[in-house]
Parts: sequence; structure tokens; C-alpha cells
Amino acid sequence: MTSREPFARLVEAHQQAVRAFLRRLCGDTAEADDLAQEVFIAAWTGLDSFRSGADFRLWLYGIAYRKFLAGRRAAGRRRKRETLVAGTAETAATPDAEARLDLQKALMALSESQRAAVALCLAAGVSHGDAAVLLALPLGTVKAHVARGRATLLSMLGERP
Amino acid sequence: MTDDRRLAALWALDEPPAQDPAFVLATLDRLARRRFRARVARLVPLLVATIAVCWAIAPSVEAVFQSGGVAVAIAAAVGLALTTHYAGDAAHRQLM
Repeated sequence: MTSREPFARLVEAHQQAVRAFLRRLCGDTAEADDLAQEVFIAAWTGLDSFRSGADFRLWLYGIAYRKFLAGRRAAGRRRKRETLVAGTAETAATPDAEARLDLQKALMALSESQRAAVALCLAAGVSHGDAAVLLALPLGTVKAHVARGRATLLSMLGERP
Repeated sequence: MTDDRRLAALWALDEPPAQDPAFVLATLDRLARRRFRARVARLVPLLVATIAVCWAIAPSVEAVFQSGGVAVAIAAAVGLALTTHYAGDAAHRQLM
């Protein structure tokens, strides 16, 4: 048996969660999926560093967050993403697509760490404590990020009819 | 609709599909390409060493040819062909 089957099973089992988390962080589907592939390759090649008994999905979220931060540092990435979002906004035709774009725009209005806290705690159902460990932030900061992020999202999204 | 329900509905809109064979295949392909490149990179020092050895023994080989040692030359060529074939197979397996 080659290593393809277990790797494929790992990707199948966790792709939805990892891609959703990265979509909310990046604000761009293509960039998020590209990063997600890198996350799975990094996880597979670094499987030895996973502590048995730990939550595998949280471990993947941690890799995803670090990949996202590293990607942010790459020159021009942010400008490219904003251009893509702006370009998509002009072509949003259905109510669902419009709502999705509104959510993306609202998420992009948050700081990166706020967005990560919101994506983890509000969207993915991760506990504040786990998110604090994963994001390397104090628990109080994560709670504040989630509360402020939620308020900002609701305020921005509330402007829609 | 409560705020939490509204947010939950929006998260659901943004959710990738639970099953996405295209994404899985693309990730498998990327891993295969990464491994292939790593293997090629590992072979480069071997290639350089092989070239250096060939360069070093070239005068001796030339002497063998000149002294009529065709059998030795053929054996060396077959050996080189087998080695290349094996390396190609191994690289192909990495891609599969």
C-alpha cells in the first residue's frame, strides 16, 4: 500500500474544516484552498510532531494559522486578495453570493487575530481556551476578540435589508 | 431570526462541501510533485559525483577502448542503462 490512501483519507476527513477556517481568514477561496493544500502536506510530512491524545483538528488549525501568517508576510499578497474580493463583488448575482460577500467584507474589517478568533470560536465551535493556545494569545484577549468581532460583524451585516 | 442564527446561516453559506474529490486529488498531486522534486534534488549530488568519477576515470576508459577491451565497455554501458532505468522507475513510483 502506498501512502496515498491514508493521506487521501486524512484530507477527506478534514478538508471541510480546514478550508472553511482558511476561507474566513483569507477572504479568498482560491488562496484559502491553496493554503489548505499546503497545510495537509505540512501535516503529513510533520505527522511525527503530532502529540498523541491531542485534538488532531486543532493541530491542523494551528498549522493553517501559521501558514496564513507566513503567507501574509509575502509581498503583495494582501493587495492581490483585496483586488480579487473587489472583482468578485462586482459579479455577485445571487442573494447567497451577495450575503457571502457581505460576510467576507465584514470579516476583512476585523484584524487578523480577531478574524482568527471569530473563525475558530464562532464559526468552528472551538473553545476560547483552545483558541487561546492555538493563537498564542491570552485567554482574555481571545474572549475580547470574539466579543468585539461578533459585534462588528453583526453591526456591518445589520446594514443589509 | 436571532443574531446567532443569522451568523450560523452565514457561516453555512461559506462552508466548503463535505466531500470534495477534486480538492483531495489536487492535494494528492501536489504531494506527489513535492516528493518528486525532493527526490530529484537528492539525486543532484549523486549526478555530480558520477560526472566527477567519469571525468576522473576517462583516461583509463579510453585506454581500455584502445587496448580492445570492448566487452568491458559494453558491460559498463549495460550497467549505466540498468541504473538509469531503475532510477526512472523509482521516480515514477514516487509520482503514483
